[in-house]
Amino acid sequence: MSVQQRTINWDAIHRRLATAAAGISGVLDHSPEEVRRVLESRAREAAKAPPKPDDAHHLEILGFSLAQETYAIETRYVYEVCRLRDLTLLPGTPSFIAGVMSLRGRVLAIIDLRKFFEFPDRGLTELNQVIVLRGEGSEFGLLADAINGVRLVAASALQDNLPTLTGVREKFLRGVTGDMLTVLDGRRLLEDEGLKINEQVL
Amino acid sequence: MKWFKNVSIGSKLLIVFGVLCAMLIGLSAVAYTMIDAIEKNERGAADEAQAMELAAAQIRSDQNYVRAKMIQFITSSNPDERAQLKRVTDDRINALLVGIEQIKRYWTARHNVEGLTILAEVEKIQAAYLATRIEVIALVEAASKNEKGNEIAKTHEKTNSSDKGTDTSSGKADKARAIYTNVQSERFDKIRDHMLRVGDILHQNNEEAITESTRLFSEAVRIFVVITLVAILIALAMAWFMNRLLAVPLRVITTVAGQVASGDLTVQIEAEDRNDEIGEMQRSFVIMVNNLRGLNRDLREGFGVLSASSNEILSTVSQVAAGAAETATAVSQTSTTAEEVKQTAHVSHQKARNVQEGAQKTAAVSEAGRQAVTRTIEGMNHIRVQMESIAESVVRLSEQGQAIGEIIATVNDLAEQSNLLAVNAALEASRAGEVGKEFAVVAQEVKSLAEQSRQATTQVRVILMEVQKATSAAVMATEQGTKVVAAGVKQATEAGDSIRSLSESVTEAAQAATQIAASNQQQLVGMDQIALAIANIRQATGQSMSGTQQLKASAQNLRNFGDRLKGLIERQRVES
Repeated sequence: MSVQQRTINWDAIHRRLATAAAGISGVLDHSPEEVRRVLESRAREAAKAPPKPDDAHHLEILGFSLAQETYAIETRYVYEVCRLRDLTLLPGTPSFIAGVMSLRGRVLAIIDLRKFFEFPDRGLTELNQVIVLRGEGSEFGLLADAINGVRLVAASALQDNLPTLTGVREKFLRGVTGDMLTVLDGRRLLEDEGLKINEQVL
Repeated sequence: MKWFKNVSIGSKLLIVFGVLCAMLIGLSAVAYTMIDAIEKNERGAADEAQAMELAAAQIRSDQNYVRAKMIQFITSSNPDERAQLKRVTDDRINALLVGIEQIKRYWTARHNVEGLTILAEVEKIQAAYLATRIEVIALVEAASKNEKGNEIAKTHEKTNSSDKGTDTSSGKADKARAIYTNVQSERFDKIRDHMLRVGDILHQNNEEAITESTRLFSEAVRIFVVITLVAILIALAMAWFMNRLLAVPLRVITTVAGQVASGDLTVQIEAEDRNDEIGEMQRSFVIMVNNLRGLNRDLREGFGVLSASSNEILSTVSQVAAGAAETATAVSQTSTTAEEVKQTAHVSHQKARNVQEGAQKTAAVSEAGRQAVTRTIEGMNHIRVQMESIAESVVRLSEQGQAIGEIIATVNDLAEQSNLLAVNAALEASRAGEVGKEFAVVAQEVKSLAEQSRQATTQVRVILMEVQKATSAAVMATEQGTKVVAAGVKQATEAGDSIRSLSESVTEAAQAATQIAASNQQQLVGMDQIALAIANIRQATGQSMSGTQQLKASAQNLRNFGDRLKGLIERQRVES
């Protein structure tokens, strides 16, 4: 009854349709002035002198997402990032070894940190990004949901020795930033015997 | 004696009077026999004795006569005279012999030995005497013939030579005379003596007969007296017995009947064990008294019931009277009500006409409604076609959205790759050290662009999802609308059917209203008849009320009568 009682204002609908069509065409067809204005604003933004970072007191880290949490690792140990493709499962390996993949002709072991840190499986994750770590004589990839980018963090901002963190996580933890970003210790990850054994196995 | 009780009274009387009659007959027979015997004795026996006495005297007389004539015969010379004398004497001798024979029979009958002995003596002497007489006669005749001829004398002499021995006629006559004077005289005397003796005996017999009859008479008198006394005694006994047998029970029953008549039914009477009328009367009386008792009890109960019933009838009649009064009131009310009903029927008639007209109007309206429904169905079908067209358009829009999604995925992929490239560039710049610092800015810029692209694609994806949801909702709404339209078509069809049936119903209602109008007309007529009938009922109720009054009086009388009867029956005693 309410449907019958509600009178349809066809004129209003026609107006809304026309506005939408105009909006779509407006979005798609930017005027040259508007394009130039956007580009100029962006250029101005880019032209701002970045703050001088103090190397001694700043860490350059690469942030990534894993299982709805954000982690970071120092860029010193990161060789590159790439997309996960052609993952090959290996039998007889620990559960945290997700498999191997070929990266420009080299075989790269892929480690699932969730299994390695014994996180509980929580929700769906994409796990289609790989962070390639390279140290002295050791190289492997870490699975990640998304790569958030490179940024600088003040070393004083890192808060370490959290009493609640024990075991594996404490060993590979560098610290936690004020915005709850967990910074992993790349050097220890690369030098870890457990991971090296895997290297030898490979 | 038991059997006698069982004999009927008629038979009892018959037996008693029969016995008395038998006694009377016996008495009469005895009297007759006695009288006859006396009569015979007196008339027969005495007369016979006298006759015999006379016969004896006659015999003596005949004897004397014969003797005298024989003497005359002997002395007579005339043959004729002698013949006549002989004939006369023969007759007398025959009579004499007959007389002796009579006496002999008489005595033989009476067994008189003495007399019979004498009579035998007499007969013997008589025989001798008669033989001698024959001889004498012959002698006399011979003598007479000798005088005429010798031959005759001789013949005669020859025949009598042995007896007389005489030869001559004179001698013969003498000899005859001598015989008669001597022998025959002697014999005659003896006979006469004997006959005198016979006469005496006969006389004695006569005397005895007279004595016998006197004795018989006195004996008869004694027997009569005895029998009469016995008969009187028996009659008295019979009377006493009959009294005891018949009168006493009758008296008892009479007494009891008197008690019963005076209303006392407590009497006790027992029936004797006998089968005559008395016994039957006693049994019948016992049954009668018992029946009377039962009847009395029944009557008592019946009168009680009668009294109670009459009371009930009286109360009922009172109630009926009250009911009749109420009925009269009710009839008046009914009459008023009937008048009201009549007016109501008028109104109803008018209303029915209105209904008829309204029904015709409604039929027209329902026809219009049917046409409207048909048009509605057509419009609905048109709407359905439009809805299907809308659904088609929306589906196409949705498919277009899919294409947009694919493009967005591609753009997103590109943005991601750009991001990775920017990160790698930043890493390379970092490794390049101070030289790469400027490049790091560019890489950061590229990463920012890639991020913006990714965010834009994310927004587009969200919008696209909403568009998709909206199109799905539109499709569903369209589908719903189609279903609603189908339901609408169905409902409209049903509405059309309903309107059709409504139209038919209205038509029927119109017909019914017509019939109601007709019925109301009949009802009016019927109400007039009811009014008439109620008037009759009123009249009848008045009659009924008066009748009820009469009935009440009758019931009162009935109750009084019942009370009176009850009092009457109460006076009789049934149980002591």
